[in-house]
Amino acid sequence: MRLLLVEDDEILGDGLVAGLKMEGYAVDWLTNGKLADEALKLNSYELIVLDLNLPDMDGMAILRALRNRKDETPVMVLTAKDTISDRVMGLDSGADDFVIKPFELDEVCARLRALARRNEGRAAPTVEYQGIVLDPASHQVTFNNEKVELSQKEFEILSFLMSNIGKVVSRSRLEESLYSWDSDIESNTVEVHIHYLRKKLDPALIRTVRGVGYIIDKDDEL
Amino acid sequence: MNYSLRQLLLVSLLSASMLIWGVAAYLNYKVTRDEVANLFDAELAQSAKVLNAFVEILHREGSLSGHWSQEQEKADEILHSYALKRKFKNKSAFQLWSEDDGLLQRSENEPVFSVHGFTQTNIDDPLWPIFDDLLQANALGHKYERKIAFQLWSKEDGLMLRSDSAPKFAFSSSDHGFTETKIDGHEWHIFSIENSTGEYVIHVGQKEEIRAELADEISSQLVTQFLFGLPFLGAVLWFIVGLSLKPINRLEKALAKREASYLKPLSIKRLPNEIVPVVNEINNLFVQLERAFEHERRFTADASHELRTPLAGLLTQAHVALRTTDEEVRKQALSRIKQGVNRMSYMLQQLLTFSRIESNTEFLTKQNTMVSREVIHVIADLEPEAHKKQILIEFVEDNAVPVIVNGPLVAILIRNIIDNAIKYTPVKGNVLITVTGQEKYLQLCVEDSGPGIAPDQYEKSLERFHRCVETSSAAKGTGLGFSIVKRIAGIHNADLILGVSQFGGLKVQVLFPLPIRPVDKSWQKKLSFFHLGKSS
Repeated sequence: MRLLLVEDDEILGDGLVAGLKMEGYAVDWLTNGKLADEALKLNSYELIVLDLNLPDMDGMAILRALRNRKDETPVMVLTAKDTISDRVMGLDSGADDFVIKPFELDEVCARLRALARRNEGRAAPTVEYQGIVLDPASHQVTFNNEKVELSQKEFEILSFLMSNIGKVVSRSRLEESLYSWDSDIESNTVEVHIHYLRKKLDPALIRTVRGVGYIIDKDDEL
Repeated sequence: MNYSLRQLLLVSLLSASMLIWGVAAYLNYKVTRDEVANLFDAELAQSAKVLNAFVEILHREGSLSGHWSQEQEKADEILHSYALKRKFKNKSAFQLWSEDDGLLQRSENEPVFSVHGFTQTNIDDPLWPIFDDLLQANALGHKYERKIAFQLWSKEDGLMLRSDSAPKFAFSSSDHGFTETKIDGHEWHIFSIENSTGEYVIHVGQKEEIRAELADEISSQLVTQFLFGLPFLGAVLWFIVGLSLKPINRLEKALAKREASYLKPLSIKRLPNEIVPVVNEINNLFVQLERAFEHERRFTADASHELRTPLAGLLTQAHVALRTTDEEVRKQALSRIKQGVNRMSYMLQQLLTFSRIESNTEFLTKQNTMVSREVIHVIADLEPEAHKKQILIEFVEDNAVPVIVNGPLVAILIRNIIDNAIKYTPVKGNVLITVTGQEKYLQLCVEDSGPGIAPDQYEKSLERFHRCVETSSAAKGTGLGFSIVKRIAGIHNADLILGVSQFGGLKVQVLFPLPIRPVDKSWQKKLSFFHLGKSS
C-alpha cells in the first residue's frame, strides 16, 4: 500500500519509514511542506501521514488544499499539540485521524489499517472472499481454513486486488502500490508475484486482462 | 523585630493622654489652690471689714464696751450673716439684723429675708462662746467656717473680744493687711484692720489646714477622676484602635484565603488611604508574578512540545530496532537512537541555558572581558567538529578592545553563533570570524558558507523554537540557539544583526557597546535602520 509520509524530523521520519516498511507499506518520505503539496497533486496514495508542524508550510494548509481538490485519501495527522481545540481544528480541516507525539508505532499502524479499511468501505478487520481470509493486521492469509505462506509483496498484491474486487487493476497501479520512489522496480516482478499467488491459492482466482492488468472477478460473474 | 500595632497605639495613646491629663490636673490643682487661697484671703478681709463696720457703729454710739451684752445678738448676726454670705458668695454682701428692729444694715443687692437658727443665751460674759457656737455649730454654717477666729483689740484696754479658737495674745503685730503666723504648730492666715479712729484693731484668722483640706479635697477629686477615667479611656482607646485596624485584618484574611496560583488584584474598596498604596504595590507585584508565571508556563509548554517530536522519533526507532529481523535495519535504528539521545541532551542543555539567562539577569556581574579571547576558547572547543566536515575556520582580530560584559554568558553567545555556523555549513565550507574594535562598539562577526536565511525570515529566526526552512532537513538544531544569542545580546545592550556573508551564507554581527561613552541612541537607530534597509 503506497503511503506518503510528511515529517521534517530526521530521526522520527527515518524511524517511521523503517517501521511502516516493515508493515508492508511502500513509503514516500518528504520533509518539506511545499514538496509534499506538489507530490500530492501528481501522485495518488492510499494513505497520507502528515506532520502539522512543518518549517515552511502549515500541515493544515496542505490538508485543506488536498480536500479542496476533492482528494478523499485518508490522512493521519501527527502533532505535538494536544489541546482539544487543536484536534477539533484538525478534524474539521479534513483529517481522518489524529495521533499525538510521542506515539507507539503499533498504534499508528493499527490506526492506519483502520483508516484503509474504512476507506474501502468495510468495517471488519479481515477481508474474506471465496474461502480466502486476509488479515491486514497480522499479515496472514488462510485459504479454506489453511494457512498460506505469502511473501510481503504477494500479500500486498492480494490485498490490493481483494480491496478492488470486480475492478481491473492496472499493472502500473500495482507497481505504484508496491514500490516507493527509492526502490528499483524490475519489470516482471508483478507477473512473478501473481504467478506465485495463483500457485499458492486458487489458480483461477486472479484473471489477467491482457495489456491492462489483473482482476479478481465478482462471484456472480464466475 | 515584630510588634503589635494595636499594643503600640494603645500604650502610646494611653501614656500620652495620662501624661497630658496629669500635667493638666496638676496645673488645674495649682491654679485652683491659688484661687482658693485668694478667695479665703478675700473672705478674711471681708469678715474683718464687717466686724469693723459693726465696731464703728458701736463706737460712734459711744457704747462699744457697754453694749456687748445687749448687742451680742447683733454680733451673732454679723457673723451669721457672714455665714450666709458664704452661701451666696457671688453676691458678696452682708446684712445686719436686730431681733427688735429688723434689718439694721445691709449691703446693696442683698435680698431681704430673715435668719433662722439663733442661739439665745443669757450668759453675759464672756461673749465669745456665743460667737464660737455660731462659728462652730450653726446649722447654716459652712464646714470650713469654724476654722475662722477673730480678736478685737483695743489699743488702750488690750483684748476686748475673741472667738474661742483665737488665742489670747495678739494674732499679729500688724494692724493692717495680711500676715501669716504660727501658733501652737498651726499655720494661720491673718487679716488685720484698724477702725477709723485707730483705737481698735480687729484680727481675723484662719488656719492653714482648712486650705490644705480644700486642696486635698480637690486633688483627691482629681485622682479619683483619673483612676476611674483611666480604665474607661483604655477601653475606648482599645475599641477605637480595633476599629481602625479592621481594614488590616480584612486584608490579612483576603490574603490568607489566596492560593499561589490566584493572583487577581486585591480590592481597594473601603480601605483607608494609608493602606491603599500598600495594596496597590501588592497588586503590582501580583501582576509581575502573573506575568512571570505566564512566561514560565508558556516556556514549559513550548519546551515540552519541542521534546515530543524527538521522543516520538526515539520511540519509533526503538520499535523498529526491536521488531526488525534485518540486522542492517536494526543497526541503523540503534545508531539513530544514539543520535536522537545526543540531540535531546543538547536540547535539554540549551533549554537549561535559556531558562537560566531568562531569570536573574540583573544580578550578573560584568567585568572587562576580551571578546577575542573567548572566541579563541570556543574555536578551540569546536574545531574538531569543523575538521570532521573539512570546514576552514578563520579568525581575524583587529584593534580588539575589552568590553564590560559577563564572560560566561558571552562565551555562550559566541559558542552558539559559531556552533550554528559550523552546523549549517556544508562539507569543505568556510567559517570566518572577525573581532573588530570600532569607534563606539566592538564588532563580533561570524560569516559562513551555509544556506543562509532569507531576509524576510531574519526576525522569525530569532524567535525561540523557530527552525529555518533551508536548514530544517539537517534538523540538528533546537530552535533555541538564536533566541539564546538574542537574549544575551539584549542583556549587554548589544545589537544583533543578521545579513548575507561574503560566502553567500549567513552573517551574524554582534555589536557590543564600548564602555568609554554611554550608549548613544542615535547611532543605534541609524544602525537598525541600516539593518532594516538591508534586509528588506
